[in-house]
Amino acid sequence: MKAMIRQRRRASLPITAAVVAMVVTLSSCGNGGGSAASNGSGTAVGGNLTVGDPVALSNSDPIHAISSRDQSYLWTVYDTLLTFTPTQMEPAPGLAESWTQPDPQTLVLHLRSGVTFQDGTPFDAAAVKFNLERDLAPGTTTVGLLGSLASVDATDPATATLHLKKPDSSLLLALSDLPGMMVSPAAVQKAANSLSTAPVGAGPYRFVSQVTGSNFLVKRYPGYWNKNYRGPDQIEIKTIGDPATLVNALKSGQVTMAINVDPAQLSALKAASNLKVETDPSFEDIPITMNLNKKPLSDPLVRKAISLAVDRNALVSTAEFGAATPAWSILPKQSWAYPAGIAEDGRNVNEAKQLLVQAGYPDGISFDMIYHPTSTYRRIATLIQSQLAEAGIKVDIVPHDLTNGAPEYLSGQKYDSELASFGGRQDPATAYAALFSSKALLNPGQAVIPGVDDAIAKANSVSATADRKAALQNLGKIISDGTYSMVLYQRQLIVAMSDSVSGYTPNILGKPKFDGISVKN
Amino acid sequence: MTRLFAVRLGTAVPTVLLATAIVFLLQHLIPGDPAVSLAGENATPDAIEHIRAQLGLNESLWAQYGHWLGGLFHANLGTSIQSSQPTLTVIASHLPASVIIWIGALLVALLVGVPAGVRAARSRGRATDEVITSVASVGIAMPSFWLGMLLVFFFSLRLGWFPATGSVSFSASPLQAIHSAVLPSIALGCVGAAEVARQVRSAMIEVLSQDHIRTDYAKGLGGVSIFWRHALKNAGMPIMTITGLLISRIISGSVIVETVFGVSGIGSLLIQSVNSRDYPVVQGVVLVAVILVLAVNFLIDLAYRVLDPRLRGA
Repeated sequence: MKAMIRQRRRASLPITAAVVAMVVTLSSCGNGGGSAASNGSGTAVGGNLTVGDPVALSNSDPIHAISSRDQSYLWTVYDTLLTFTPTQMEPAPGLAESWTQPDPQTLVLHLRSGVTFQDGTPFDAAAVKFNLERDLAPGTTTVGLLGSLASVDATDPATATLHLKKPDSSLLLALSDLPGMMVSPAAVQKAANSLSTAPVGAGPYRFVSQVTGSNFLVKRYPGYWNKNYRGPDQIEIKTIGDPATLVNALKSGQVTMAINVDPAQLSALKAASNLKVETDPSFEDIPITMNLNKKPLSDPLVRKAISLAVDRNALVSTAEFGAATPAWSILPKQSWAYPAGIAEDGRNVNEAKQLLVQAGYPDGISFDMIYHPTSTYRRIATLIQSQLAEAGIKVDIVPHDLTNGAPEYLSGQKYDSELASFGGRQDPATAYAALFSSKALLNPGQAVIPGVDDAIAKANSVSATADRKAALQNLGKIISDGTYSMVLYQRQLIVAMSDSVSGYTPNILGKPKFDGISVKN
Repeated sequence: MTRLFAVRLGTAVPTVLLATAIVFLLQHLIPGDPAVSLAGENATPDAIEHIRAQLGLNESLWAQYGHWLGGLFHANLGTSIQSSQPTLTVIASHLPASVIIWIGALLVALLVGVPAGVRAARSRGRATDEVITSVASVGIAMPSFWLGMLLVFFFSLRLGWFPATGSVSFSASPLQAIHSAVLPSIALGCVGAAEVARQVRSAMIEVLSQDHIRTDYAKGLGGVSIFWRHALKNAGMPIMTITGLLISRIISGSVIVETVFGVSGIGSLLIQSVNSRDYPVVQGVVLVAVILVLAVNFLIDLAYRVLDPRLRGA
């Protein structure tokens, strides 16, 4: 009997070995193929980049893209009319190699020649006219950024003239965002909704495949106009929603780069020896937005007291694991339009209490604050609640799904304040308008802040950088002086990548681009 | 047989309608407005109103549900609010990844659970029985997401044997598809294996105490033959019942496991769609899940008839 068992054990050994060998073989082929060509100096060029992103692409048609993170996907396929400088967010040439403004209500774009869409359709002024008119259709996500655009003329094949309803210098940077993404008119004319499944643009990559909410695959477009373009040969972006799963995917080599990483994963990333981690400034703010029409937050002394009672440094270190920068403006300090000289309140609980007494609230105040019920926001809200309690300010924190906004809060019907993130905008005036204009949807109850509408109009009516800077700094000062904005901090964009990835350049917008990246596969 | 089919179909239709109606109403109770979301960050009130009208969100809930039901009769589950793609296409692109895991989890549950249950019954009251029963108790109590994380840590990050995340299409590479489904299947199937082991054990113990088994022994039949051919077949009914329940639980449990393993199945699609208020996709996924569960129950009913001749004439 024992001999039989031994025999059976011996017989099972090769099976076990075969299973292990199969597993090892399969695991070695699981990380994708692809090879990086060499440029002769030993530096890899191209290669296959596999990116893990917790945020799925909402829609591959720019006029229907709704997520503030869609641009990282879409910039691969679509080139924009203008681009921006990564550190300063200033307008830079894109498909329009230059532009002029003969008068404040006319913008002339001089287009590149020799550009074709990935389906072979030539890019010209007629394509620009087609695209911008498509952007203005009712129900698109782009119409809001082109509110000042009246009409477009294809003056000649290489010149497009934009006529504006009113002066709007923020339009330039809007053309580096979703409205400026040029889609192939032929593809749209063939099937109106085709871009949602098969995008066709004039960018450096042609679309290969996508599974909604799962992955997006593009490969280099050989006919791309910029022959000096450097970047991966192929980019696959995989949606991995769970933060820990994303880090596991990076550690095990399923992805070679992870973007928009949750700060709670920073220590796990830094502990891994074969990974590089970048934390860079971004435009993403964490503010407490307030309904300025409702008491007690309508009182500037109360708002100032709250700003003094909150401990921004503690929030950054505890809620964001250090991957954020305390802030007092919706713009990061790196922005060219940052309102230098504004008050940067440190924590002062006694002064906060005195201000409340001065405002007529010797027994303190109470207000409610809604927040998105995720662990991160719960962490921030609880900390704010305990910090403000020390100054006699009672905050009722109310979990509320904010995926699709909080209509009753934004219309001013319910709730006093909201803790949420604001992704920022390419143009500073657009960012201020989105939050503080008397018509802004994100301004609860559409409160009228004295001087703000005029200051936004002034900032948009001038085009010289120095003039815009002065106008925007003035606008920032108005917001700061009245404590109309309770920005707590700006999040840093966390990008982690394997050692095989090089050439990544962050941008201050906080939406990664993959230009210049090479991968040694 | 025809009567069984007719009766089952007769109960299936109202069940599907009720399930979809409940889900339809529940998802509209969640705060938030898809039109606001679809209008984007720079929305204007006009754009929101236009989208609301376009999607029919201004109509009454019953009218919206009626439209959805009307489409159902033409095999049209509507269009995804977010991606603008037909709902059926979206679901079809995610279903294969889930199906591989479901089958894998079921295999794990049965291939581990049934032999373990039989072994425990054979060794009733002895150390082996105690060990199997204790492990099964731990298995039932262990959350699948936690087991999934442990499996990833050891087999992916430490040993590098299996991918930590993701799935591969079966049509692209059957071997890699199976390879990437191994860990999620184990994570999802372990709880089932524990349940099956306990059910098989108790069913076998009951059967083994019956007279016909004693007769089998008296006839001189061997232990293996008695356990696997006679006792297990007679214990088949409760095993079938637990298998039916298990499949429903695997389908629902895959929502969590798919998230832990980053698998793009219909579980993760459901979570994304709920978060983005993509009503047509949520409805579609629920419909598919309900139909699958009803189909499984029907097959289990048929299996009862195969196992128990007394039911064939019923």
